[in-house]
Amino acid sequence: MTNSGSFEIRPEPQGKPQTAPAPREDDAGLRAEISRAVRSLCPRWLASRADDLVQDAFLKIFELRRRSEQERELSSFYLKRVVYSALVDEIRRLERRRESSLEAEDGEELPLASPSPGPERAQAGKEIGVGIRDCLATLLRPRKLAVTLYLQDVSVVEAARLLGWDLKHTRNLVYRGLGDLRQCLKAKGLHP
Amino acid sequence: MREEDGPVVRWRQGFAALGERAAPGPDCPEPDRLWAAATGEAPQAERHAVFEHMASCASCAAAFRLARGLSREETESAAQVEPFPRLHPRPWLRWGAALAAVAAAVVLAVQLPGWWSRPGPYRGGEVREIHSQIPEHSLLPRAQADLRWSAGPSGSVYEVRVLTREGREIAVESGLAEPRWQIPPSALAAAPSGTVLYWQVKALPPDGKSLGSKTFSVRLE
Repeated sequence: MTNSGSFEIRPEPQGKPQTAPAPREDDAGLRAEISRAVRSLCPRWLASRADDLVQDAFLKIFELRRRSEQERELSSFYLKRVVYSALVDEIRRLERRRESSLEAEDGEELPLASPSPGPERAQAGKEIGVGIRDCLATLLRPRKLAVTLYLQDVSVVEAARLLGWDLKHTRNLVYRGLGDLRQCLKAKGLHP
Repeated sequence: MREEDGPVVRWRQGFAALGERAAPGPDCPEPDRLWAAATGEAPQAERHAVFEHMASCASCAAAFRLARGLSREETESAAQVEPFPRLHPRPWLRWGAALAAVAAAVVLAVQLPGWWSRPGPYRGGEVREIHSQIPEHSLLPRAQADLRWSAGPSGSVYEVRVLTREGREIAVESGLAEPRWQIPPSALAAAPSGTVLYWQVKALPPDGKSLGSKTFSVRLE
């Protein structure tokens, strides 16, 4: 038994009708929720394409419904998972394409995720980000895992659940890991 | 520790900012693996592997944040309100904050029942969660497809749903007094060998506060 599974969109069987069922009324709420998440959590350069990304991802849902006898209900959690897979596949495709085009343009400066940073803050944020990534690589693995989750805005309690460790142990690892991170950043001249 | 810890806020922003320049690499986990790690569905070692990868891969870190954002409604436990320990903690503040977090957690746990929501973690002062009792990587015998899970609060009756990977419900049972149930062979007749089944349990204790499991999976023999 595993606690994870792969969700795949199976190839369309030959001879089936190709028309997708119409969107359902209750899709609107789900679509709005997913759009909000994409806008707030995706890289900023993708924000203007959020609606297109979500629309493309929803096509997967329509396909899925068409192939599943149409009458059953799919849970919103399952639908989100399907949409998520489609979204990440597409985002990765765009990221790869963008990376290759930027290489051709020889080092364009990119915006940062922090809200409306000035040039100095943006530069500082970039340096801190790179420093954090480098410093994380030097942490003991348990501390690295705990701090990485915390830097991803995961609460300590939730981190404990995701890591499978007890709360006290996890809190201790985060605390010590952040201390290590602070020292490492200082050593790099990056004062928090 | 949250907003009062300015450095950590900046660190988070800096870490997230790396995602603006990110591109996936050949070792990046598939989206499904990221989702399973972000929601806690994946086995522990798998989750750890994904989190470690995320420490050095800004693209996957961004994808993880998206998974968290999308799955939050279902997976976010009341524990989200738990404040982070300060870098230089003051014990009386820490305990006060912890007590406030527990109180808030109890309130949220009561407000978030339902099939797909995470179970309320605090009941009677104990963390309660329904776990699968089927060993990892075992195959489920078709003729004796017994599902077993950890018991809920005393006096609970259980509801079970079994779904295919496409989300189609193939079996459901309710009113179970024991934390186990055998999927009728007739429900599995159309499922080929090796099919992955997804199943969920909801415990209904006498106090009426239902407790839902996460979605487990098992491969059919």
